Amino acid sequence: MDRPESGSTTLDHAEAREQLDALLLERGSLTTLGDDPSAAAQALRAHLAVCPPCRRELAAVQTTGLLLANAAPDDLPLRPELRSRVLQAVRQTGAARPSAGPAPERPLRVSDETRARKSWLGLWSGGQLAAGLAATVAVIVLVGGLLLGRGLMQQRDAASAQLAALTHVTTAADRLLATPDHRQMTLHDPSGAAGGTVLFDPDSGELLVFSAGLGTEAGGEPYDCFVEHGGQRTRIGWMEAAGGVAYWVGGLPAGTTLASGDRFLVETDDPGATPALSGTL
Amino acid sequence: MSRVAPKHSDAELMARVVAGDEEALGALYDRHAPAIQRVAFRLLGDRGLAEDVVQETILALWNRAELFDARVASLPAWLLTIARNRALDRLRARARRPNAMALSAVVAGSTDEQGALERLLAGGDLLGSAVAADADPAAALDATWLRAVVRDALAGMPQAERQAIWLAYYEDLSQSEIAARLGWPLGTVKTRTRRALARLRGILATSLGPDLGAQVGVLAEEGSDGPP
Repeated sequence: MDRPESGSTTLDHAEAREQLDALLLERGSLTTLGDDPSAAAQALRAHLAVCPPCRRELAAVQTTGLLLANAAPDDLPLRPELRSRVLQAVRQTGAARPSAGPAPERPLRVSDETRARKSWLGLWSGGQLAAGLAATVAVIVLVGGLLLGRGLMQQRDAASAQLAALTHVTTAADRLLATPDHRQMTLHDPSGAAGGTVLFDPDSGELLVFSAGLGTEAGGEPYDCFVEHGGQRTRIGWMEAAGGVAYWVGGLPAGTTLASGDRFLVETDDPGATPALSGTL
Repeated sequence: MSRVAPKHSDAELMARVVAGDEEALGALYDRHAPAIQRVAFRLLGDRGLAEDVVQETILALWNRAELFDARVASLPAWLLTIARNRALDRLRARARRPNAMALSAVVAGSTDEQGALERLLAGGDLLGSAVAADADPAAALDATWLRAVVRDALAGMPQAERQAIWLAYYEDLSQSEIAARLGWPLGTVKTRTRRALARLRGILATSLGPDLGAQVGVLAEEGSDGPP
């Protein structure tokens, strides 16, 4: 709190309300009032704790602040220094990329590396995923080259498309595994065997599901992806395939959540069908 | 860092970001950060937190550029979805976090009263659900109506008072900076700001109707059921 500290530990109503007004217009002060260790903040909290009218005033000031924020102008100015702060943060913590400028550095902590490795190892029973995907990509590149040698341009294009799709999947997996709060779920087939994996970033709502042996359809019916939350099932996407991997990359629809206890299902649109894959977060 | 000419489309700039082009990232920041900040500020009511959301959203853009698919959503829609999710995460975290400093350390009030204050300080009892429109059309309509009411209220205030609120709340100036900007004595800034807030709340208490208006109304200067 950027206010003179009186040294007094008690406030009267007028002092408390004057401080509350000042807090509303002082950057971040209302948000941090509960944590502020200053004597002034402690005195204000002490008064508020035993004064219902001033607590109502605090609530009114907070509500006024929210209403003012909600009415912020469309051209709300950015602080000029924010740009350099944001770009600096990207350089320091952003993902490493092939550099077209100064290379952004993302120093991976040991714990990150360990977590990423463990996450991958947890996929597809014992770390087969990374190796499996890489091998699949290699085979596609090889086959693509052979096919090109025979002049089969269409098949080369198909191989290229599969390569691009698998690269898309592996890139998505890397990105999701790099997010600090990502969640991972193993999907099981009707026999109970592990058959697929879901990676999910709760911050962005981005999600990847993939399976090695599923294919994209059963009996001519395509597989769809569903989230079951509170007994309500929402279709969120559909499985595609490349190089023997069935996958879907996308985001949860607005208003859809995936929280602990929710189920994820991969199944056809047949209402009587057993889910081909399912798992609980 | 030089700026990228505005002729480049979002898709072109995203392709350059995937290739590691920071200049393109800067151009995308210039183009979309204002809207990200506006959305976050409207949800959170705090400029500092809104700036954090801007940073996290631009960082997500950099980290996940490959995931962007223009056939699925426009870049602004993609970015604003990320920003909204980040802001809502903060709202939820604020509502459930215990205050870092327990009130019991500074006051010997009743448990109920401490609980009431802690909920207030955590932001759990606010109007936020109505203002945080998210994807609910009814809430979005409420937010739009509330925005119009507040803007009308501000427009109807004396210019000096409106300026005081505007500079402090929307341009993030301190009272000293406002005094320097407008050439007012610091004491005048403080007086006009308090008067402006009281007037604004009085107008809103009337124009928002009895239920919502009561949540912002100015209380009597002396409380009747608390300590002096």
